[in-house]
Amino acid sequence: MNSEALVNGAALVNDDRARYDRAAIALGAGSLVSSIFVLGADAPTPIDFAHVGLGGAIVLAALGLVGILGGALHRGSLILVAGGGLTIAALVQLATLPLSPRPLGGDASMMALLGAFGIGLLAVGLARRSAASTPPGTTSILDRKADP
Amino acid sequence: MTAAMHDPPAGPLASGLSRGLLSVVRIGVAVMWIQNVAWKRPPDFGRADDNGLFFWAGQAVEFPVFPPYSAFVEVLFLPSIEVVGWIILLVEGGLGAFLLIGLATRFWAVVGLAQTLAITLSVLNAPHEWHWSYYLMFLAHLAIFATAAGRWFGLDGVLRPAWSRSSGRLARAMVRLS
Repeated sequence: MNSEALVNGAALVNDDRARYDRAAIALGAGSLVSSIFVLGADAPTPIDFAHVGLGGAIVLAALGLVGILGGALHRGSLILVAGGGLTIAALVQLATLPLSPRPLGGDASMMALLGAFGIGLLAVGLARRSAASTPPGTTSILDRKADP
Repeated sequence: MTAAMHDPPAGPLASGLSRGLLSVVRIGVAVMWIQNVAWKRPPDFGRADDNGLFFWAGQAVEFPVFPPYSAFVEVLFLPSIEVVGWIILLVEGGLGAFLLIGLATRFWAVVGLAQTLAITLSVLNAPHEWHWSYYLMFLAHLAIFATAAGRWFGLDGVLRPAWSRSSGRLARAMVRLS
């Protein structure tokens, strides 16, 4: 493997990581912003897009912030913590939907929001970890095959 | 000059504005599913009070659109709504979640087409329904599928480069589903 291939491989990995970090910031921001629906309990139907309870709003805001920090500080572990936490919260919401009141408040629309940002952050965090564990210049089998 | 004449014109999706507008369509459709999964309420999904999913699914029997589908609803769907309701809830929650973040977007666009068809067959002939609502839902999902709308401002666009380089089975599948 020549030095040019090593440099190209390292640049590819760095590009991927930077893209994943930006995505984590966007997903974390989305989670944080969606917690605002907790204020819309009495909103008219045309703008009452999601029913977020107080517990769910705290989870969306806190773990959204963790996701933003993970992306901004380039810490993949924080992205995974945020994604895992939100996904678990979505599963808790799903399991408690038949109950009234529910521990996190809200309804199935909040489950969809928690699941969206949780699965998104998990996907980005896992992809980032996979890229981080690949030595520069050996980003994939296809890249290795391309070497002279 | 010959080569220039055969060069394809720059498509509308080369524009950042067009890509942004397309992501607005995808996210808007996602929010529609998220808002409407809210009234799928377990455990009986409206059977006790004849409202919610039970009531609306029952419209397929009261105002048939396609008789075989009405028979399916009457014989299988409504009697087992405590089970089928959970499937509907998960499908519509998944549609909202995955279209919102743009992950596996083309797959979920196809799921959206199927779900729209089921809804259309249930309520198209019900009183006070505007039939173009359901045609437009169908067309919106067709547009999301045709343009692979998760590739811009969505996770498909973020993850596809790595999926494309990978020889793994899951990654190859995700390339096709996105």
